[in-house]
Amino acid sequence: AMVTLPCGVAHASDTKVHKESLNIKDLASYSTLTEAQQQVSGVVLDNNGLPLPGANVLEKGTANGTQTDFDGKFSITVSNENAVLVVSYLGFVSKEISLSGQTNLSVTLEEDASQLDEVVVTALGITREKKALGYAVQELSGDDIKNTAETNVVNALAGKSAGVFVNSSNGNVGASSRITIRGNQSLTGNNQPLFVVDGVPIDNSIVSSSRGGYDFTDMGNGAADINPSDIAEMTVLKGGNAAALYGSRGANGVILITTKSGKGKGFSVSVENSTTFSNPFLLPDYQNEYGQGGGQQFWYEDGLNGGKNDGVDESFGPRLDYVVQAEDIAPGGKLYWAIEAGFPQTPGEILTLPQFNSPVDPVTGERTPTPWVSNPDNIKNFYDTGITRVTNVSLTNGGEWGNMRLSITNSDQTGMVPNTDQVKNTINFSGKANLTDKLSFEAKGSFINSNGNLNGSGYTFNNIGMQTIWTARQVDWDYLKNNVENPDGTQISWISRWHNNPYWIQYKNLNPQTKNRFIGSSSIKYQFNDWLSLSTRAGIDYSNEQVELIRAYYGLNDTEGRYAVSNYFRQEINADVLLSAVKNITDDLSLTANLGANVMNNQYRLQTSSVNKLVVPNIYSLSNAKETPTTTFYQREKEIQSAFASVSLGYKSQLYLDLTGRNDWSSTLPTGNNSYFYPSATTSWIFSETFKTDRNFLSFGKARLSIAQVGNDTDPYRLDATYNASTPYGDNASFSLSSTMPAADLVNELITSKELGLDLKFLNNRIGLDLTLYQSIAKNQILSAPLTPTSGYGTQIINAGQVNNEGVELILTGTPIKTDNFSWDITANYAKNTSKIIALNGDVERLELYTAEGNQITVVAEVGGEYGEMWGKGFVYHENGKPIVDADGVPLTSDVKKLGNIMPDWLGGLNNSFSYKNFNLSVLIDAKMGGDVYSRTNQDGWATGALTSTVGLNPNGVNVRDPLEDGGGYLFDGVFEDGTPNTVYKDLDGFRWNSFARAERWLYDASYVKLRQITLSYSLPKTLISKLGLKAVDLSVFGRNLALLYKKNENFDPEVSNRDASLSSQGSEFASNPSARNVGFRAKFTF
Amino acid sequence: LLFSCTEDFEEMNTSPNDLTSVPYNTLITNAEISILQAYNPILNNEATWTRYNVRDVYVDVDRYGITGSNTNFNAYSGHLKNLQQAIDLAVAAEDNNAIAVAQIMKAYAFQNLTDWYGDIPYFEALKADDKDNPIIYPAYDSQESIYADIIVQLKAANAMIDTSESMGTADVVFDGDMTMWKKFANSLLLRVYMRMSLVDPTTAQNGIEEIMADPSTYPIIDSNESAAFKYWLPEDATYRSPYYMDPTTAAQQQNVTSAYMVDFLKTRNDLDRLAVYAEPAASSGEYVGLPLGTLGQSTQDLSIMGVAEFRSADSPTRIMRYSEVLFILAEAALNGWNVGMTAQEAYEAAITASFEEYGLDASTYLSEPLVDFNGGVDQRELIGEQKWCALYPDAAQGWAEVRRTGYPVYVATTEPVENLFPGKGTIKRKPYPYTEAISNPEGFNAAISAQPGIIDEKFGAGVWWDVN
Repeated sequence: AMVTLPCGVAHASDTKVHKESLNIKDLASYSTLTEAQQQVSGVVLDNNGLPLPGANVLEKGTANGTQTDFDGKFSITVSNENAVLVVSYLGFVSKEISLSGQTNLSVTLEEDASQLDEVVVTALGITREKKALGYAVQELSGDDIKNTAETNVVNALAGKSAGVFVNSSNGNVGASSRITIRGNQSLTGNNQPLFVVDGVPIDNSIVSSSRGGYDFTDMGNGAADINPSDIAEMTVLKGGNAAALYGSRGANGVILITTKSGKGKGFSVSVENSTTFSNPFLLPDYQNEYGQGGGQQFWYEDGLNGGKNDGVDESFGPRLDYVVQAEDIAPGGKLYWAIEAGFPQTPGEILTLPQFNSPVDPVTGERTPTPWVSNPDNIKNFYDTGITRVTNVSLTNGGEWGNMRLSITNSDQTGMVPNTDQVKNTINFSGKANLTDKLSFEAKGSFINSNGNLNGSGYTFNNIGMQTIWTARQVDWDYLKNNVENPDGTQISWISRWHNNPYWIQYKNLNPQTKNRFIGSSSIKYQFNDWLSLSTRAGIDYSNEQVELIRAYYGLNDTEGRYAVSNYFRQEINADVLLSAVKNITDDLSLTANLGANVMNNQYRLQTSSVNKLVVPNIYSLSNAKETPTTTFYQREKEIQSAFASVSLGYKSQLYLDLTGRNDWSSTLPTGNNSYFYPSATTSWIFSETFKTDRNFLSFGKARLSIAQVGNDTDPYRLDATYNASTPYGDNASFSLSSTMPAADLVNELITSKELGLDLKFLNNRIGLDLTLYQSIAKNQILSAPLTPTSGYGTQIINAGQVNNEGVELILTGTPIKTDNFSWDITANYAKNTSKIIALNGDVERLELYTAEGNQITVVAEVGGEYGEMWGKGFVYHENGKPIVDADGVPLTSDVKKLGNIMPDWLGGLNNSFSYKNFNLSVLIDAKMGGDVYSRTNQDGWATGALTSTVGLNPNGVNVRDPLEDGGGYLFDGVFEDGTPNTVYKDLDGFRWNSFARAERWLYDASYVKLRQITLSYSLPKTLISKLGLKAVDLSVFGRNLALLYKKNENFDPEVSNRDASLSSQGSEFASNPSARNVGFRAKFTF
Repeated sequence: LLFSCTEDFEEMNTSPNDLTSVPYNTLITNAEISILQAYNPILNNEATWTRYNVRDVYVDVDRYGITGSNTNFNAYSGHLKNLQQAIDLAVAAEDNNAIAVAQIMKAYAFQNLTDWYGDIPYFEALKADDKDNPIIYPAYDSQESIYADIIVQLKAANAMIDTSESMGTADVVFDGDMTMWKKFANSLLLRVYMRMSLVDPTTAQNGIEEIMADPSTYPIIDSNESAAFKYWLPEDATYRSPYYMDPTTAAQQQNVTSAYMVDFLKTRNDLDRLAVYAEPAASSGEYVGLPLGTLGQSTQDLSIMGVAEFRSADSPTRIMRYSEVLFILAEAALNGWNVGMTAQEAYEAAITASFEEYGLDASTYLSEPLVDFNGGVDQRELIGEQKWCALYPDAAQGWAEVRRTGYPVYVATTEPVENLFPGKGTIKRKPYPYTEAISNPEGFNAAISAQPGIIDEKFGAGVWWDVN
């Protein structure tokens, strides 16, 4: 391969790399110069004599290692016959074996809860002993993800790792989730960690397609394409410290995913299946006392306000299930309006009115009144039981020649919302060929094909979530299900003015998505000798996604149909070269050094074509157009070139020092500012080793300290002023200046992180404590900050001030009970992060970050304040603590003020795991305390009268919906200016429109404690399965998102956000579909 | 692996999606369209407050429920900035006609904005990217000072125009006809002067008399043919009349003709303009209006806006009418100012022009008891009423004139809105955009304190010229 390095890199290294990578003959001659190599094989067993598959076998002081196969067997070529092998396995005490000429070993490992000597995969795929690390990492095995059959890997991380925060959006098929580690460093940027799959950084952006900003489809988050069945392990590198070698995008932490390989396994086949059932987790409390209309009057004519209040979708109409009294229908009676309108009533029977589904008299053409009755479960019954089936078949083989694994996965999901589904087929291949003793070649790749029909999202009439809060309470959705359209194809809606039939939305208005994605890498490694190797790797994450928007003829606002198709092209190529040295300089001093370079090229294209009127109904094609189809096209490209180096020194396996340095050149920054360097230093000291502490008391003690910097660039095309083209007017071009002010002088962001940690194990590792204190200072953040448009621009791109994040993470582990057959393990994690805005741009005191959908809440950064403050209009409070009302009983509305914060105060998780023989029961509870959310469900549910908050008795003991003269009406719980209680009752039907104190009024504390997950798993005894000719049988039953144990809000799941999980959706809840409660089972057979 | 060098970076980072420079005329084209769509809508808040067209459901805005969440200042970063950019480029190119057109449109837009909000950023606005003195927190200026500068700008534009040259088809209002631009600019000056006439009568009188005394320097709109009407492209879905409404949308009317308007026309026996302004109710065939803020009526029992003149694909935007010019002259004459005609002459000519705009004859109408200039009704009230009626459905101007003159006097008790905000009165201005308190707090707070008497940012004290 031709290799040249970025300009500016010392050319000495250039020529060196060049020569060494090309001169194969020279390389081959190296082997003859090295010491005599030795082939060693053996078996690794636990203390019961059972084989340990997947144990690590490492030649001490080198990167040379292997893993045991399914029978616990391994084979390794070591550098000399006196080499020392380190054998480690998760949950066991590692052993060092001096070969002294032995070529066949039987190694028995002792169990150990401390798991301290495990080897972890760190940045750039470099394998390190965990105890040597000077920063916090947390590992999750593939089983942690798979046991619950969660299809979105991000959701599987919720509650499992200290400081890892997951926001799910809702229970829609394919819905996005957002993950952040240690809070938000960037005011408006991505803030999500970098996902790296087998060394390839992959796209995890959260994308919603939208039509004109209102009709959304949440296309999910990119990492959701990773197939959990193929994950061998995940490592969470938490700070910038851990991620210095990944450059800019590692600033928010890195999630390293290693997929399974056939390494050391021999030939085996496994078949796995899981089935998960999903149901709505929480629905609002709907009232069932009043139906559609206003002023307690209603009759249906056309749904366009042709009847009485049939153009309104609110539930302020007549009482439901009401038995008519004689006085009601006498002149002046409260139902006399119905008599006047020509709808006679019978005393003693239920009120009857013409309704949208009343039968039409064939002679008169008039609707025959039908009983006005409630439909308490109309929404509940709308949702189906969602089913997700995941089937995986994998083949593995391994030997001297190398290894391979092929896995095919089918994931078939049908949603809770009718007619939503997603099918994903994944083919994953991993192969490694040992071409010579020194030269190996490895290729890994996943091809993922997904397709399905997604749900509309956001606050739009094509998202069922919106209609659930706007549906009038008497509406029979079951009728709508069976009566979607008329014989002429027109729609049957309960209110054609405002809503489509919900089943029309689901079955006629579709959001089909198809996506093909390939994530793959190939690498060549040449091992010059026992301490020096050179590897190159090229990786690609490529995807092509198509999202269609299908809107049928006779739909609301789409009377002649609509069709749009968007094609997304995303591609990122990373190419690395890495020269690594691992050498024991003396018996006490070990050295690991890496020198490398990377080039990253990222491209994105989006083409959208749409037609707004179709010629022929039900044919969705761009050529079936009454008007000229419109096409928009957008593309962007950026490139970062990097050179980096790292050195690790270890002294007597108790003192470690790591130094790294990286220089990036980014295409997105101005010439002159586009090169930036950032270093890191970490150190750790295993003092229990130094002081030889009593293992029965302090089994292990390590202190660690690290300081790291990470530089960051920005998006492309932010430096020049641009003009946006509008449709030409006749023959005249029409352009407008972009409302974003260009930033010609941008410099890179720089984040400096410090981390201090303590790992302690006590009482023979029965109790463990892992404490981390960290601080990060993010300076010169590049952000798009809203300006007052009066300045001439709506936003400006600036380098803004400084944001400090400080926090603490605590992981406590304990094993209260441990016997031969039974053990009880507890893992608790706690994380608290505070983000402080230290400075903004120049002397700017306050910046608006984004305004949440609905324009009520603005998230603001203020100097001295915290990240995520929510501002809006609220109440004016009396000194006695109650909101002040005016003389008319209406609460006063304050100026814009600080109301809350989107960020939680702290996060916690508690996992209890019980093992009895081959059974394991694991119960995970997680908590998020603090943080606020603006609830559109409650706001609209109040205005529409759909929620129970709009019915019941007032302080007079009279029905709030009764007339004021009868003692009814709504009394706001406030005080007059003089502090005396409010006494003015308001007619609810009119008062509900008053938008007083809107933002604060509908702001809720989003704290919760959730029963996140219960898993019961069972592995059939090996003695039994071997008789069946099987290698393993694993069974589990599980439940996820099971119960809210504690909450401070009402009517919505505090975890659910807005249209998707993106930043600008945080802090608001917009009547989306409910989240899902999942239960299921899983079985895996290995042959 | 081929590592490229950073020399390519500048090219790579140049947007392939958008141009980085364009001819300034294309900015004027864009701004003209944007401005006409922004300030002359027929279905908006002002149309209801003016009692032109009102809503029959979701009457929150009709009921003065508007808040800063419903307003924005995007006009500044939109057409105003585009015009400023066009002016800067045209100055460099010494293209006086383009400068003049941009200045006139800018003045027109700014007058509309300040009439809505009162004090707004003006002198320091649009300067975020100023090379010498960038301003990202523009101060709010008094409406009085903005009006003074609008006058300067319009006079300068009028003087700058070379009528022997056309601006070309990039001018999509008058197709490059610079004489039309002079007439529009000077008529706009008349509008500006009259709007400020109650607070600064001297400037108003001098200004109007100066224009009327020198028609060769200050040509004005002097016929329906020379009125500032913008005709659209009926065949083009993007650029057909912005008032066009397809039949389905029309069937779901959210706006119906106000009861006050229907009654006004009926009581003056003005059935000809009634038939233009409104459609008969679908159910009865009668003209039935709806009192502002009324909820729970059936649309098919109500009149909706007239289709032929106002809602067809080729309905023009009436930027400034001949009748409005004549009503201004009538009021000026009534003030005793020398405009070359009497108040009655101008008043009757104005009504006649309004009728002729729709091909109607006003001769019998002029002698209707409630119309006759000498019929006993206060002449100032007559001019106010008839001007309001003739301006239909130009709601920005209608609402401004109603606030300024106090005419017509609505029969408030029939409308539910009057009870919604006891003690606060009718809406006097639009609330400032909610984000201003966050993105320009000093300017915003100073503006609030500089305009005492405002209640809830919309009631109480009117704008500077609103002393009624």
